[in-house]
Amino acid sequence: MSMESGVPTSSASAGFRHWLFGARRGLEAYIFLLHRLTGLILLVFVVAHILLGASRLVSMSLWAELMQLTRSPWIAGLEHLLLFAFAFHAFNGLRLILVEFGIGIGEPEQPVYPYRGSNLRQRPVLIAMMLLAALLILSSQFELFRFSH
Amino acid sequence: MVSSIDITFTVIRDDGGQAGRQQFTVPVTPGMTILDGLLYIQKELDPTLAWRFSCRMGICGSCGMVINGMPGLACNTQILSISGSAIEVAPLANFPVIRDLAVSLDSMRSKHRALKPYIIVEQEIEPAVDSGEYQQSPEELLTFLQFTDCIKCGICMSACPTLALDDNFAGPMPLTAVQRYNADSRDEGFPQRKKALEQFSGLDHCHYAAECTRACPKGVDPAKAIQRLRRSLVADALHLRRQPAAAARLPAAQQVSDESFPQPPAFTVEGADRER
Amino acid sequence: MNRSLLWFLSIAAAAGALLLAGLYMSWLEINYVLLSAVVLFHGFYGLGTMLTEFWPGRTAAVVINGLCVTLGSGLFLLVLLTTLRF
Repeated sequence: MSMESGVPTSSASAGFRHWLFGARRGLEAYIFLLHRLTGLILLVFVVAHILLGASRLVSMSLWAELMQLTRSPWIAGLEHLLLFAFAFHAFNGLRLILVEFGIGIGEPEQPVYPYRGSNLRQRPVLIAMMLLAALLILSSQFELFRFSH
Repeated sequence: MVSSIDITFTVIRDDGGQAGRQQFTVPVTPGMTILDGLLYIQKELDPTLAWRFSCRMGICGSCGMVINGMPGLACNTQILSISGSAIEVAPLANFPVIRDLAVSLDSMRSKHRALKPYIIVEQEIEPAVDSGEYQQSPEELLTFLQFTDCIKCGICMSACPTLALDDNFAGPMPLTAVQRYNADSRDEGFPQRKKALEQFSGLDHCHYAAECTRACPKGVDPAKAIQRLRRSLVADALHLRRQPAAAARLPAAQQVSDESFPQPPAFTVEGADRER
Repeated sequence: MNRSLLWFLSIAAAAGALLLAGLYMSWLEINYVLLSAVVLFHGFYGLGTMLTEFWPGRTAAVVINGLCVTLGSGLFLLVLLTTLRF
């Protein structure tokens, strides 16, 4: 095997299946998976939303037809999914902004067994953010706040 | 005589290309570690089983393996703390298997070496001048001391979900070493290590899954090191990074006084300082 | 471009998008074009990061990042056209 520095020798990334199912992971790892999934959902929505709006450039009747489609009941279900995705991604994202800048994960210290790593230190932040996300979702279900638009 | 219970050990073996699962029944008494179990198998049941171990006390880092889905040190993991019925051991993920439970850690070592894990000073004055030692306050030491505890076992690399997809990601251990040296007040190698990092996938591929911190047997907290490294790289990209002053070099005539004599470090296991 | 800077800009865009979305839902009329810009930037940056992890390597990175930049810019252009026209 090559021992030159700067040239990674053969490594064997365990692959997509291992990434998804291969290990008993902690809470933060599954939250990360969910963050990716909700990000994809939101991106699909954004693209669909832009294309829908842009259909007006083609013709107003096309736009009217597409808007009529969005009134179907299964679209309403998708809108709920969208709200869950947005609430989760937004608040988890806020947590990640803090944590990835090193805020809330604790200062370097002399580790004393049993170790309380940064993943446990930032757990209260995670719980707080999930509660805020739940609040947003609940408020939408029960129309707790009225928005002007 | 302490009674034993029979536990099924399933070992994921790779015998030169033929991968398979082999089951062994091991009589387990309280206090036995996974390493004890493997040694029993090798001695009594199958002498061809291959894996690495050395110190058997959690400091050499040789016996890293995946135990019931979670990477850990075999010598540090008691069997009955994991399961009372079935144990599954597999080689560390994200490394090519040499044989059975022994993997090649070359990729981790070459990444580590490429990222310059040593003190770098711009001006090589120390060999020329008969000075005293570099001064470093306990507070300065604490900014990187945790990251020096790394025993290079590769467990964090096995746990990292990003490495499962992208083998050009540097990985928790090399990145922790980078932060250990960048944070050291005696070091001036930040620009060189920044350049060395460019050959690997960026730090933006770390998404704080914190699996490395969860798995680390020595409490090094690689995830914390990586976030702090990320912060310093972003600050540098925005031209906001303050280069900490290199530790003052003592003039040749400096004496070490009693007040500056270093004290022993605190105990690292809770309760160890109590009288027996 | 420096990867750390790009990551920071994406995070700033995400924070900006959140702030704008929050303001948009209140009494303030926010520029829809600005909101679309930050959302598209953050969204396609995230997609590019994810895809380059699934397909690492220089060639894949060029293709994936190229596609993301093209799609993101194209969609932003559509937003501009739609907003200007109507």
